[in-house]
Order: sequence, then C-alpha cells, then structure tokens
Amino acid sequence: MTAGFGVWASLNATAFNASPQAVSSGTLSLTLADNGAGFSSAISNMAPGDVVNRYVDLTNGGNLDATGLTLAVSATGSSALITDGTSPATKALKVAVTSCSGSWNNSTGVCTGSTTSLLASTTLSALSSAQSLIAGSIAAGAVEHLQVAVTLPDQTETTTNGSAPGTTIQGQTANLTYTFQESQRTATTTNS
Amino acid sequence: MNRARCAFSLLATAVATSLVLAQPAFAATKGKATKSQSVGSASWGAAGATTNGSPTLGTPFVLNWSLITLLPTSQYFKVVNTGTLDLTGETYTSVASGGPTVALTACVGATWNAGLGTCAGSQVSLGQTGGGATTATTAIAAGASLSVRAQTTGLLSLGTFTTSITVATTRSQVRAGTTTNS
Repeated sequence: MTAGFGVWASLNATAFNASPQAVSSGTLSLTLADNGAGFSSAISNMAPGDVVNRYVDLTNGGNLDATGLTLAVSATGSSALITDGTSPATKALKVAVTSCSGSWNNSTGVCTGSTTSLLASTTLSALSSAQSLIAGSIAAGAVEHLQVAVTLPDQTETTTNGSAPGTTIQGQTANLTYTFQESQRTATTTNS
Repeated sequence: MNRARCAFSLLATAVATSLVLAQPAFAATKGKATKSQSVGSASWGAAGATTNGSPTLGTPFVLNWSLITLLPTSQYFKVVNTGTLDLTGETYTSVASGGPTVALTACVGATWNAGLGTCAGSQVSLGQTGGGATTATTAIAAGASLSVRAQTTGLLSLGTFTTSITVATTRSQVRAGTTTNS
C-alpha cells in the first residue's frame, strides 16, 4: 500500500497602483493687516459725536473657500465706554464695518469702488457675541477691504469746577479686541 | 455557560467601542484673526485757581475779602482748563457771603497786571455776585488758563466776606463731533 500525497498549488493575483495617489488637505487662513493706522494705533481723546475710521485688510489666504465671516469685539476697561449702565447702551462706544470693493483711501475715507455696509453701528455689548459680516462664500485668496468706524455717541454732560459727573464718559479708556472668524466652505462629495 | 456569556460580553463591548471610534469627524475648520486697540475719550472742564496755584477740583473757588475802603478793590485769579479739549466758553456763577457786589472780568488774550490794574487784551464780563449764571464765550485752550479780575463795586466796601465762584462747562462748550480717517 502506497501512501498518496496531493499538491495544492493556488494562484493569487494582486492589482495596485504603481504610483501612490497623492491626497492633500486644503488650508484655511484668515489674516489681518492694517491699512494706515488700522488697529495698531490707539484712538485717543474722542469727543462725544466723534467717529474714528480705521482701515484693515482681511485676507482669506488659504486655498479653501470660506463662508460665514463674523466679528466679535471683547472689551475691557471703563464700563462707561462699554455698557454705560443702560440697555441698550446709548452713551457707550459703537462699532460699524463697511466693505469697499476697491481700496480705501485711509486719509480721506474714499472708496475707489462700491461700498457695502457689513455691520451697522452696533454697541460693544451686542458685539460681545459674534455678529455676521458676510453670510455667504468668500473665495480663496479674496481680500476684504474694511473700514471699521468707532463712534462715541453724542451726549450732554456738564463738568462743574473741573469735576465730571459720576457716570461720566470723559477721560475713560477701553481696550477693544477684534476677532474676525470664518468657517471652511461646506464639505462636498465629488466624482471624477 | 458563564465563560461563554463573559466572552460574548467582551465581544459586544469591543464592537461598540470600535463603532464609537469609527465615527467620522465633521468639525469644520475655522480661520481666525484677532487684534486689539485702545480707545480713549476726551474730557472738558474748568476751575478757578490762584494766579500761581493749581485748581481745586470739585469745589467752588473762594476769594476772601477783609475791607475797609471807599474805592473798588480787586483780586486776581485764573480759570484753568482742566480737560483735554479746547473750551469755547464757560458759565460762571458767583455767590457772596455778604459785603458789596463783586464783578468778574476776564482779560482775553493777555493777563491782568495786578499792579496797575490793566489788561492788555480785551475785557469780557463774567457776571457778578447775585447776578445768577453768566455764560461767556471766552475760549480757553486745553492746558491754558484765563486771567480774571474780581472787583468790588460801589463806593463803600466794608467788612469780611467771601465770594464763591463756580465754573461750569457743558458739552456744547467744546467742539462738535468730527469724523477722522487714518
């Protein structure tokens, strides 16, 4: 009796891409640059009714389109300039933002293109939460030329013998931190 | 039986954990740019002071008199702009504790010469005691002062009394709001 041995040889086939497929993620970058004094230079000696316009360029510098540009302003310092104790505040500082399709002349306030109001004059207390500036899409590489107007509302205060009223807005200082924020465009599914 | 139940339990836990870990993340990327800026407000005000002194804030400026004279007698002081804005005018109220009427006169553009009683500038009335509030368009630049003479009136000045001078400045006595670009 002879023992039999079987041989089972199997064949395997493998397919793969000879060259690895490159996959890269997009980038989202928002940068802020002064146009003139911008935010780098302090605003001082504001009288009631004064409006100080400062200019900044906001660049969506990544390679992804963005959406939903917002602005929030956090403030510290004199409460008289921030909330003034009334609701809504009538004496405290306000901020407005206007965009120029061209460029701003930071000396004259003239826009070479058309202007769009992105944010009406808004109290600092309302700006403690983010307010929408541009709800729609912002293309990659786009630059928003912004005029940021800081207003101290007009008011009637009388100073007697060099002493201001108890709730004065005179001689006060507030530090404003502007935070612009955008989100990436909506994620998509593509076929190609 | 217990061993089988235990093994099943471990398997179920592992599967549940792997399902949780396999959840894709949909957190959107945010772009943020932040910068800070200091904002300061101006001030306006004025107060009386002796010719060589500093104003005492919050209280009227007081002149003391002790007189026996038949002629008008004068004292000189200054009104200091205590704010950071130029003043276009002020409102003066003078109150006497007794004695004769005291009239206030500013010397605009110059300083009263106390020795001669002369003013090389123009004289502007700031009212008198008992006359209520007087608003004068006497400009005082920020950091500057206005020279003022207080003078008794009438033929007889007799006794010891005081004159308290209150200086008020309203919002309308500084420049209007402006729009600046920079």
